Amino acid sequence: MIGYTYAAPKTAGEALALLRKNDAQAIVSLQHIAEFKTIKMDDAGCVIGSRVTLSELKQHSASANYPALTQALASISDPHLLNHTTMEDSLNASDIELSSVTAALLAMDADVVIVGDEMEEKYAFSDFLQTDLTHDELVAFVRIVLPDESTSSYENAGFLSGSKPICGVAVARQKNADNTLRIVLGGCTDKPVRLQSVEAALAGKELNASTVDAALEKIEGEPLTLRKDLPIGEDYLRHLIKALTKKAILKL
Amino acid sequence: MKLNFHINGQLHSGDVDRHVSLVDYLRDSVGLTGTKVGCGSGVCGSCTILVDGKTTKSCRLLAMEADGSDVTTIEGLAKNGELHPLQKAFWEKNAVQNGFSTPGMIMAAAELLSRNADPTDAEIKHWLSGNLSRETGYQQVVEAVKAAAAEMRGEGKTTTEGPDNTSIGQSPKTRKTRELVTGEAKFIADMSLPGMLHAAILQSPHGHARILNVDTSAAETMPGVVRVFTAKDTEGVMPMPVIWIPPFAESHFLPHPSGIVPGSHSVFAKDRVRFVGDQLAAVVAETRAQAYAALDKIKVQYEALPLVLDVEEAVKEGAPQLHETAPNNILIETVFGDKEATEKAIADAEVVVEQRIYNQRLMHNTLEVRGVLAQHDPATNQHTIWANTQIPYPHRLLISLYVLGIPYNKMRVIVPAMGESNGCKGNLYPDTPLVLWMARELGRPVKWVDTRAGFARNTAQSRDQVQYVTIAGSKEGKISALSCRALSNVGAYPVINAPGQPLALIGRSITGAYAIPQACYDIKVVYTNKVPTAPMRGSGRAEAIFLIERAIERFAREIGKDSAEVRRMNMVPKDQFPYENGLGWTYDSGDYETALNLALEKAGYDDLATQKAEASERNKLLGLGIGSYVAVAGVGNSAKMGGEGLMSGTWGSSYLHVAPSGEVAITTGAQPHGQSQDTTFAQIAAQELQIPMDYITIQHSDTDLPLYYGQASYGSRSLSVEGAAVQKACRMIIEKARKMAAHLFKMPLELIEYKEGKVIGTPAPEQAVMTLQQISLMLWFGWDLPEGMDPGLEATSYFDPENFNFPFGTHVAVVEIDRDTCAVDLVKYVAVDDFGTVINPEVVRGQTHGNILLGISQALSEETRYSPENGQVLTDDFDTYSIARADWIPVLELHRTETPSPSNPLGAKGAGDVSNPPVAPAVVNAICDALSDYGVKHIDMPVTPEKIWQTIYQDKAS
Ligand code: FES
Repeated sequence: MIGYTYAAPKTAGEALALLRKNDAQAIVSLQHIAEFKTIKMDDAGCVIGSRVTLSELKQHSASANYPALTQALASISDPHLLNHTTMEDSLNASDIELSSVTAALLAMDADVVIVGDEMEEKYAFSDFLQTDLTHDELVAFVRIVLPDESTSSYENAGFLSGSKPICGVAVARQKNADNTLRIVLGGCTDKPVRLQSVEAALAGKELNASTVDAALEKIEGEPLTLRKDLPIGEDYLRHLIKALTKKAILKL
Repeated sequence: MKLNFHINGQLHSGDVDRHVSLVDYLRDSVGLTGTKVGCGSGVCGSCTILVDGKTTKSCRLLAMEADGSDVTTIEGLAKNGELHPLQKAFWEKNAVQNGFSTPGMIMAAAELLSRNADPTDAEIKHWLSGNLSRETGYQQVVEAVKAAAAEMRGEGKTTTEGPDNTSIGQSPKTRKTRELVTGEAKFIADMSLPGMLHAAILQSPHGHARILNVDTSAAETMPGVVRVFTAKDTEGVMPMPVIWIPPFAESHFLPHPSGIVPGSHSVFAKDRVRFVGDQLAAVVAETRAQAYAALDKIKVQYEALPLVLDVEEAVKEGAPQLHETAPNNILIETVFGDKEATEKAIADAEVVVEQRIYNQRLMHNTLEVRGVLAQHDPATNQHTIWANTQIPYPHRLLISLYVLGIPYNKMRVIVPAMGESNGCKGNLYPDTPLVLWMARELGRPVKWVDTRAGFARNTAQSRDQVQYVTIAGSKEGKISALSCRALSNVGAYPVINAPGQPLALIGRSITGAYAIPQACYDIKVVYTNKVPTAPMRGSGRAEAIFLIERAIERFAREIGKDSAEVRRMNMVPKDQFPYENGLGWTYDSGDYETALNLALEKAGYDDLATQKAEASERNKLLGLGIGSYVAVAGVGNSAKMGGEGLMSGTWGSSYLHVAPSGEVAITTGAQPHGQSQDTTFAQIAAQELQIPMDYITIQHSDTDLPLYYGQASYGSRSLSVEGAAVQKACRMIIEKARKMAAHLFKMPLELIEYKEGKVIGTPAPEQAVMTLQQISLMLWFGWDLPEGMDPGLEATSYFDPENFNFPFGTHVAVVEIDRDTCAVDLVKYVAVDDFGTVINPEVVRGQTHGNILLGISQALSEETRYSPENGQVLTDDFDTYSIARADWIPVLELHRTETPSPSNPLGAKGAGDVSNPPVAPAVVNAICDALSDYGVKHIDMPVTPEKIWQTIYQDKAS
């Protein structure tokens, strides 16, 4: 108890100033930074503050534009988790409890905005996952581009064990000429991963049960690192991945 | 660091260590113990509070994170003494049983209603899926949330007033519930005494190992540590006793120094650990955190020994041997029924179906773990423990006589408010006498409250039986024989009543609701390196009913007949009661077929083909399963239980005392832990004595109460045995009052009537009339008593039924299985139960919900898993051991028929755990029905989507 200081700055600037001191005995709460707690919508899309809770996001009208996100949020039933998880928490790709949201963000190609000493930098979420923040940098916002139409979805296997989403698939149609899909698997992998071979196999194809089945054959070639601590066996898990991917795609 | 925040509207400031969780801070530093701790890992929801109005699991938040916020706990919900609508509604809708999960549920629901004024059932269940309720179920909770919502919308009114009519068959409000909905009730973890120390107990990391050395030196120097105890300190403490020794079977128990009963494990393992819950040392420190911190510093050197976890392996030649007294690890071996005649009937039968069934190992996994607070007064040599046990009187007897060797009259056991038990709190565990012994050694009160992980290792588990079942009969469907060869996994040591479940409770029950001419049960009870097993809700009857209900289903399919029809053909007909089932039970009364028909009708059985076709269009496989049952209850004739081997009486007892004020106090031998005997027993007494229920107090939970001995609550016995004793005591009181009145009125006894709480001389009813209070006053004065009559108006009654009672019924489950993911969705559930005369239908409804919930959970999810490498329990939290959540459960449709039991004057049959046995077979039968097109015959529980997938796809592929 001795020697710790606690501060709850109200602005990003104040927070960064405190963080720059790099004092191991200082506890800096980022809960009260107003600018990180807002959700803004414009024609281009949505900017979600890093301190926005999943519960606030779920209740905000903006989330309705992103079915994968809405469905991912709906799959989390525990209100504690929704109330106490921030956008930034859900960028932590190794947290299985939040893998639904993480997978949805990755499928929707979200960007992560970092602020630091007089700088602001934007990373694609997939790049952000490879980036280590320094002690005086903060995640400020997550940006998601507004899709033209409702073209994303999320499916997961509930009722398997405990409270964790052990296998979920998010799919989003990209805003490009081919309308290619981004397909992301989460929960059962160390971090959410794109099923790029399946994406490639479906490029330019009409989406129906047989094209999807055929494309899913390609999963066998994906170098998936499946978690070892899951309560189900690998054979069934691989089946489930296919079954859920198919459901998610055909739901589009 | 410094904290400032509002708690229940009051500004609070304090100092807190940065590692302290909010729940610990609220409970230990602020003294708000209404918020409970069930898991400490964010899964169970018992610790739910509101932080800035938001549902928060306070075990998952650090206290310092609450700085500056507005915290509301259950204590802050009632305003100006007026309960919150949710608190009232939970009470009114009987959503509260033992009450441990109630504060968390109410707090979570509070946020829901602040966001959504009119939530649907599905929304409520979804929202509450982070709040577990093991024993109460969820349906009444959902009803309560809806009722509270209606009141908050101004569309309805909940009330704390009960109905005027409290007679038998009515549902007055349950007593002692206000303190449960407000968080004021003190459970064991909420208690403290001045000068109290805290204990932590070290368990073995190995399932089987030799202990080479225990080094406590580092632990002893840790901050706050008062003493560290090991086996060398407890030489004088005797091992746990076993009090169930079947006289008819070959058995191989361990010795006990008393020479009277056999023994079991000791407070500390001496030279060898045989399961991971074996205790090695205990630290006693000033705080709980200090005790656990020091525990980590104890160094134990082990030499790992070969393990055996599986019963079939354990009996093989060359298997590791656990106890010298038990060759081949066999504790008991015996046969029920006529094996030779059964084998002959099978050999002669047209159709024979065989099935291996593994009834998996379950954990009782009560949300409240076990705990003990003990105190010794050296001046008087008085020993007192407070413990959340189902069996306070047996604790007093067994600890004083067989473990610590202290005078019975210097030992007192008190049970505080207690969470659910599911049976696991009905044993004597080594930790309990250990804590008392340590308190005496140290001269200060000592408290020990287990952890969730500790509970998974030291607290009895259940079921775990391998069964080889053979059913035989004619092509028309008449069953001629049933045999079961079984191996029961009793774990490393027998707990006090371990033999009861695998022997009589299963062995005499396997024919279920059917008249089967030849049946036998051949059983080996086997030691392994697993946690000891003991009865669990549905105990024994659950294993028996599962096997017969699966077997009859398999048999019906084999002969191509409707399984409902095969059941009808074989059920004990209603004109055959009392019916001897050939294995030792005499079924008391019943109409099994009516219950079956009613359940099928309500479930839409005639329409099944259409339902299947409709589901198929949605890519779902629909199946319907039946579970018919008869379950022995009401323990229950002491001589019969003695014949089974129980070294104890099983009569019911009560002491009734009418004070000079006219108030009635009844001490019962029952030990409530969520069953509402405070209410139902008062209803019985109010009806018998014809006085308002408010005049009557029911007492229990303290061995110093004026009762010779209480045989406790287990195996659905309370109402039909202990309740019958209450009724008998009331009748004794009336008798004495009439005699006194006859004397005072100078009239013959036959002319004295007892009516509406008064004694009336019928020839002059206006003049010769006295209330019970007036009579009790006259008896208290003792001025003018009839010849030979003692003063005072009191009675001690005993009731020992001539027979057990046999509740029965049929449950029907309808499931849908997703063809792609193989996920199982329970879409409909209908239960028809017959509990004989029901005192309080709402109370019984709540218990039935709890039974069904557990059965569904066993069928679909629960299983205790062990590491094959070291015998560790792998399922030691609520994530790895997954119990049914609110959103798994459809609306449960409950119906009752009412066939009184002739076994007791109330006509009551057991209810508390008896409706569990039909649930798991109904669900598994439904799954197998859904998969019948795939030729699936059986899938062992828990029937997970993975097992279904393996059965219908993978097995086919290979
Ligand atoms: S104690 Fe906090 S969720 Fe179980």
